[in-house]
Amino acid sequence: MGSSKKHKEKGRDKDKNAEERHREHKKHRHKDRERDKERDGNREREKRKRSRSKERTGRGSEREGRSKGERSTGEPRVKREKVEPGHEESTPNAGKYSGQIMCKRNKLRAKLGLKPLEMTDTSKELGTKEQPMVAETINPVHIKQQKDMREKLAAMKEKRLLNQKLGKVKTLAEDDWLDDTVAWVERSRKMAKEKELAEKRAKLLQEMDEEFVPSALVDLKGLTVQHKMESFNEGETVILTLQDKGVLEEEDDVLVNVGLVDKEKAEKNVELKKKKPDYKAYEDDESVDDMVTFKPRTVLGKYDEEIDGEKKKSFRLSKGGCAEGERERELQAIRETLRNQAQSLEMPALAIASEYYTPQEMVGFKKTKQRVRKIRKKEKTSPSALKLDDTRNTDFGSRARGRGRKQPNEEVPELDNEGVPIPGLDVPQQSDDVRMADMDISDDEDFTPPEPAVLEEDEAEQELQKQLEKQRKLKQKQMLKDSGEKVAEQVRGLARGDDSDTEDKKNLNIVFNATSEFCRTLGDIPTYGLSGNREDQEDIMDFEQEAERDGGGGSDSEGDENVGWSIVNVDEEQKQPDFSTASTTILDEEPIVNSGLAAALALCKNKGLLDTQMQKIARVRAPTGALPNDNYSIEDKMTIDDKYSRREEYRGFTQDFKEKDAYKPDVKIEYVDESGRKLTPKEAFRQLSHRFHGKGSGKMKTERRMKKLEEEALLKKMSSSDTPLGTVALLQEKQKSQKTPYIVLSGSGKSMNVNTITK
Amino acid sequence: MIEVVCNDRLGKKVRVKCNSEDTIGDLKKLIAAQTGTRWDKIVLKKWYTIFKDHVSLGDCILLNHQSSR
Repeated sequence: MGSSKKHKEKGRDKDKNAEERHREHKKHRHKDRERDKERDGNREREKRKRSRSKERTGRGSEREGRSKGERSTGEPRVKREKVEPGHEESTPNAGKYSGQIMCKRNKLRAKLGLKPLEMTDTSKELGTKEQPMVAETINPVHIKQQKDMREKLAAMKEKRLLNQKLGKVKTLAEDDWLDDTVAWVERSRKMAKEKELAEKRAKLLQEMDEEFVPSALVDLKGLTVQHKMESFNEGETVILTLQDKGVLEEEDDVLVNVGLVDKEKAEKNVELKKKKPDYKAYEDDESVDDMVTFKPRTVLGKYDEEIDGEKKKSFRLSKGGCAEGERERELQAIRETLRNQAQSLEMPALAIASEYYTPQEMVGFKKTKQRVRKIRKKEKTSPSALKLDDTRNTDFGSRARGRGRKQPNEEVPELDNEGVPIPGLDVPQQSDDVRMADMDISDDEDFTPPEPAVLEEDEAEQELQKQLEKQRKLKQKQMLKDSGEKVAEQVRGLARGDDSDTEDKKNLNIVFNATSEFCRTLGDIPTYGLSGNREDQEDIMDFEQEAERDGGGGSDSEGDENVGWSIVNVDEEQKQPDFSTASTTILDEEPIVNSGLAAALALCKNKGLLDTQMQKIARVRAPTGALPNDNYSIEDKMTIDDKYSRREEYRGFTQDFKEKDAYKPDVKIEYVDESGRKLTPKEAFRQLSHRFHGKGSGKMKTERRMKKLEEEALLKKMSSSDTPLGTVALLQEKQKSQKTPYIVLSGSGKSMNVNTITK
Repeated sequence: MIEVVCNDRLGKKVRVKCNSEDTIGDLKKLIAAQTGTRWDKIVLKKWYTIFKDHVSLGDCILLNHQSSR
């Protein structure tokens, strides 16, 4: 034991020695007066600032307190000796950290809420940077020994304590008390007394407990219960206990139920685990119920709990410990009213609208009485309607009827503007086409004109017709003047004596027909009837042709108008009986192709297959003459006149040789390479370039060229009728030698003899 | 009392005296008082081990001369 102490002392001493050395270095300091003062000041301060240290004043005692195990007698010795140095010790340290600075530091610490700096722990620092101390060598053996010693000591100590304890207990062997009855009696009495006392105490405590309870009941008013009102159900008993709070807290008591608290915590944890989204971008659907309590809109509500702390719902107990949920009931009532007032936003279900009126809707409609129409009106309307219908059906705005003339009613037989009454409304007017059709039908027979239409002519119209007829006749006469057209007319006139009137009559009308117009635009067929397929035409004389055409015109559906027109056309075409290629009529007969190449060419030209236009070759002209430019002109240096060039000029009159006008040589310059082959322009240029520059192509290039030439030569050598290997020639040779038209293909040289097969 | 040297490698080197029972948070406050940054902005590291605020200095293995920031 002692040895261990010694060891410890050694350790301590070593520390002390280090410090001593440290101190000695600064011995001169303690001679300073200042230092002395500081020393004193420090000491006192240290004495004052013993806030948490358990020990008494004095640095040394602090040191003592901090010693690890027992106190060694050595230590106090050391301390006693070095009380001064102990204090001195402090001073150099204090010198290290001057008092003012320490004061500041401690102030700062106090401001920050920290305990003031301990003036310790520097002992650990063995020497400063300036004076590095040799660290203690760690002797593991030494350490182990110390450890063992410690253990032994501890064991012994325990033993001792145990013995002490056990020593109190009396063993059976010690029965000295038996001998002394008095003592025994006394003891038993004591025991009984003690028992009684214990019982009394217990009773008292119980009573106190009981007392406590009713008092608590009395004082329940105003206590808060830190649970929601809803967590208490009717009929069940919940035991509430006081919530823990600090001893010195002066707040009101709070009652809680442990189970409920845990439940709430569990619920909260479950909620947190669910990981509900923190942020709701839009407000939840507010139900009517929520509108009862006014909820202030908060920003970033999720942090409120963190910032403000968890809010716990609680309610206060009123007198006698009753908690009335009056407020809750009120809120509930309000909620009910709101719910009833609320209007649902649901629209009535969409249904297909019915097409028919429902009986309910029909009630709204009143039946209107049908007026009895007067019979008179009905009768009136019928005849006119009929008549109107007729006219409408048939009258398609013919010129005979007149332009846009209204049909006067029977009731009011008006006179037209021209003053001509229009009788004969009974007879329906036919359309032009119909009339023409009628005329067609009565083709070869007598030409029956539409009598009533003619009769209904207007005077103005008649006049117009007359004028036109006159003109036509004039024209006719003119045409018929030369050669024997008069005769033809006479003949015609004789032939159709009765028709002439009709013709005249016919000619009063100018009737346009779609087909007739089309035909007119086409132009008359020049070859009409030339092939003799027209029955009407037997004589191919001009006049007869004319006459026939007239007849044909009359018989044809072309009608009146062509009578006059056709004559003219015929004449025109008779002037050009030849089928020249210049005519552009579509109905030209195609020129006969078998007449020779010329005809064929002509046909092609006609059809546009040949391109006979001279193609202009684009020629690039010198730009100088093209665009005269004011601001810019190209100055040619060659035009600069100098003495020498001018000398060479000939400024005389130059002219081409007349003798050589017809001389137009065909110049062809051919270039040949060394083998005699004609060169392409590219190759020729290459040759020129090589000669000019004095060096030819490189190795690669020349090789390629050679290869190419060889290939060309091979190509030329190749026979056109045979494969490159000359298979055909070989075949023929073989055939010749074998004298068979076939050759036998055999492989590997062995002949397909019977012998070999049998082998 | 121990002295802690803190270096921010950018020019601020500070020696702070404190008890070994102080926590890192207290040390940070002391450093903040000396350097001028806010204490909750200071991160004390040793190599790459970050010291947490609630640990006491005595428990961190702080050697004699330590430099940490």
